[in-house]
Amino acid sequence: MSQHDESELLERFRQRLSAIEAQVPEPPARDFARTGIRRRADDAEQRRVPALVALLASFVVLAVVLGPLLWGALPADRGASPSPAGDSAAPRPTLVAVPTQERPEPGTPQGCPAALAFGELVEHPEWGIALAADGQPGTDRVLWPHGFAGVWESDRLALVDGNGRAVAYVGDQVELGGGFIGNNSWLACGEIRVVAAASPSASPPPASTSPSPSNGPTLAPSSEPTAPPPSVGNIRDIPEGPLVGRSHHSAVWTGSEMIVWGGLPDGGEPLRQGIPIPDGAAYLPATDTWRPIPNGLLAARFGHSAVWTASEMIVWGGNAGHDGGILADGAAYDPATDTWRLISSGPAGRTLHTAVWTGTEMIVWGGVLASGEPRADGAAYDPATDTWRDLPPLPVEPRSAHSAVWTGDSMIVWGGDGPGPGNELDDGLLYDPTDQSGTRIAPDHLLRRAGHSAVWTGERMIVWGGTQGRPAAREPFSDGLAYDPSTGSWSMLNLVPSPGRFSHSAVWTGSEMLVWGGRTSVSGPASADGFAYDPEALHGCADLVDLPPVSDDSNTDSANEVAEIVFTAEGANDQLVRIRYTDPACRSHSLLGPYIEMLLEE
Amino acid sequence: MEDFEQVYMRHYRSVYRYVLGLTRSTDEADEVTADTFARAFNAWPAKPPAAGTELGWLLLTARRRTTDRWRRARRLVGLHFLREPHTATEQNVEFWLWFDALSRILPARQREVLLLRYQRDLSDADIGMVMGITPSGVRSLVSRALENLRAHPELLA
Repeated sequence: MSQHDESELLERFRQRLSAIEAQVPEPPARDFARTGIRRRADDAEQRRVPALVALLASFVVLAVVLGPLLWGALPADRGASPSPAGDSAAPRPTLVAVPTQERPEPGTPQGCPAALAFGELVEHPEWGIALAADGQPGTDRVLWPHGFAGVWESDRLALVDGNGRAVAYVGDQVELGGGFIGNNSWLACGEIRVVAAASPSASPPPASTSPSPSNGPTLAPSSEPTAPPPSVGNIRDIPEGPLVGRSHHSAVWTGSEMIVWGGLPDGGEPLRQGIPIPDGAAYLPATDTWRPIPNGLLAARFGHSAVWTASEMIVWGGNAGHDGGILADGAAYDPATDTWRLISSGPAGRTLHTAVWTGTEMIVWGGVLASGEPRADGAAYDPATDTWRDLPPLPVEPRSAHSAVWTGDSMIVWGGDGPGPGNELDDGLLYDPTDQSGTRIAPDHLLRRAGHSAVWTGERMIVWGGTQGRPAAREPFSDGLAYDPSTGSWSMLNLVPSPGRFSHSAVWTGSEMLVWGGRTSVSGPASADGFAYDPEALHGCADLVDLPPVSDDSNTDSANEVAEIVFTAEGANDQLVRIRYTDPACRSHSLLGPYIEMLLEE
Repeated sequence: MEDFEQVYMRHYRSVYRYVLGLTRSTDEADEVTADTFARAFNAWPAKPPAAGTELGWLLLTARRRTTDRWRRARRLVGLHFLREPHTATEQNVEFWLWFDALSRILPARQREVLLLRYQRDLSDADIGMVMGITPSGVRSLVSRALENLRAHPELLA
């Protein structure tokens, strides 16, 4: 297409789009010097307040009366039906399993009941943070959104969102959107607004994007949440650096810094529409700062691999995006000289593969070729001789977007996308390059995932995040699991909540796992942030907990106080349901519960 | 703050239009645009953008605010922090039907780059800053978007 054609097309597009102007208002008059800015919506909220109060009361009454009928018509004999507030002295939280067929479907107008509840947030021994609804006796159990948690800040119990930001505090008067499911269980699926803080000092930062209807905030500088989210429990936030958000990038740990390179920015189906990013930067935990690195000799790419050889970062393979295809070249970056050098060409180009450093060689394994065919073979590169040698296929299903770690004598491969769409794998392989033998690691249905990360801590392999499901419906995991090859057993990480992500990166620093970038959905924004997980920061609470048994029963339970109960409801649209609950002894780090998370296949 | 008021008057509609195109919701556009200028107002005295880059800076802020809201809505599975997309009225139904058809043809980033290209005073570098890509990436994205549009002449009729 010639430039003239492009200009003409663009002009016609502009003309067509210009119809949007009818919906673009003139700027509302503001006197910045005197009053600051007030949101238009706030003005509207203020005008609505008197009517809203009356409406809200009606909503609450209607929700109480109709909620159980509309949303919580749960069978009386359902074993996991919630117990009424305050009627149980059980030492552990009562699990609530909401049958998926009775659960609101996310993403639809009918997905969240339109009722509002008003009341005070109260601490509850079983449910973490509950709601003492206005005009209602007792307290209501709240099914909080995925990722929300109760965190003690000094002597105050804060309700924090998935970013670790305090949304409200116990004692606050709040307005909770959602509706009842079952008896006295409020599904908090609408907006959460603090109507009146417990005390002026207890006012949380405006984590919600919604204005407070009673105050009509003017967004004065003092209310601007400029401070980074607080670190919570064993999670520390990594400050944003010079890099834009991305996924399918690489990261290595050099011993002092994490080098992030390449990747894919926001939007688009990665394999078909991506325009990769050619830059990189290094994060230094010691100073909590970033430094840019030179772009180097390689074309921009994503879905490549990178290893650290003790002196260089070797980048190989990947996908150049829309026009560039699958790559078979690589280069090495030396931080000491801040320079790059090309390495010899390797095997056929591939992407979404993995690479590990054995101490003498880089083993590249798996991934997909330009034809889209996933592979179970690989190649080894020796930087001392700048040569490659082929590796035979291993006795495991071909895969891509899997993980691989080097334990010191073996490579552990886990999960990934198998042949065909929606075929995430739940098995792995222990590969010994000395005799080229491979031992399959038994499948575990709970660990089926792709696009996850894995690091080797010296004792265990930590698998974190990832996703499963058809591409258009993928939702991220936010849980972590640890595999001990000496016992062949899996455990769960006692992580505080953090937003799940996939196609991110993770490195082990010797004491922390640094997670950075990634996505929360296939076509959504890519993250430009990350966090550090320190298993030693739990101060007396176990960093690992036993994996609960798998069950198709909706009443799965565990003897562990700190646990995530995960079970699948096979047959009901292949839905995966998770429930977590509070550990009273470790509540400063634990999750509120119960809550629900639901992944739906389309 | 007279300078900021001028910036506000000059760029309010540009920011609003961009957010409206991203979210397809006038409510969202109302709130994000107001939020964007509120943040800009607070940050202006300490970190005024370079002359001539105000609009790009505002659009980048608006994009981040939209993304934040989108992330929050996505993370809260089953929640409705984002309102329903545009509510069709007699006045705008034709436009949004066209926009829906456009959305089926163009991926989000291609739509976005054209939305920004609609703004004649934005350079490739400005658009790249907003979208987090290089100027050549902007040109490539525009080219691909127009190529897609070329295959659907009914959308430009």
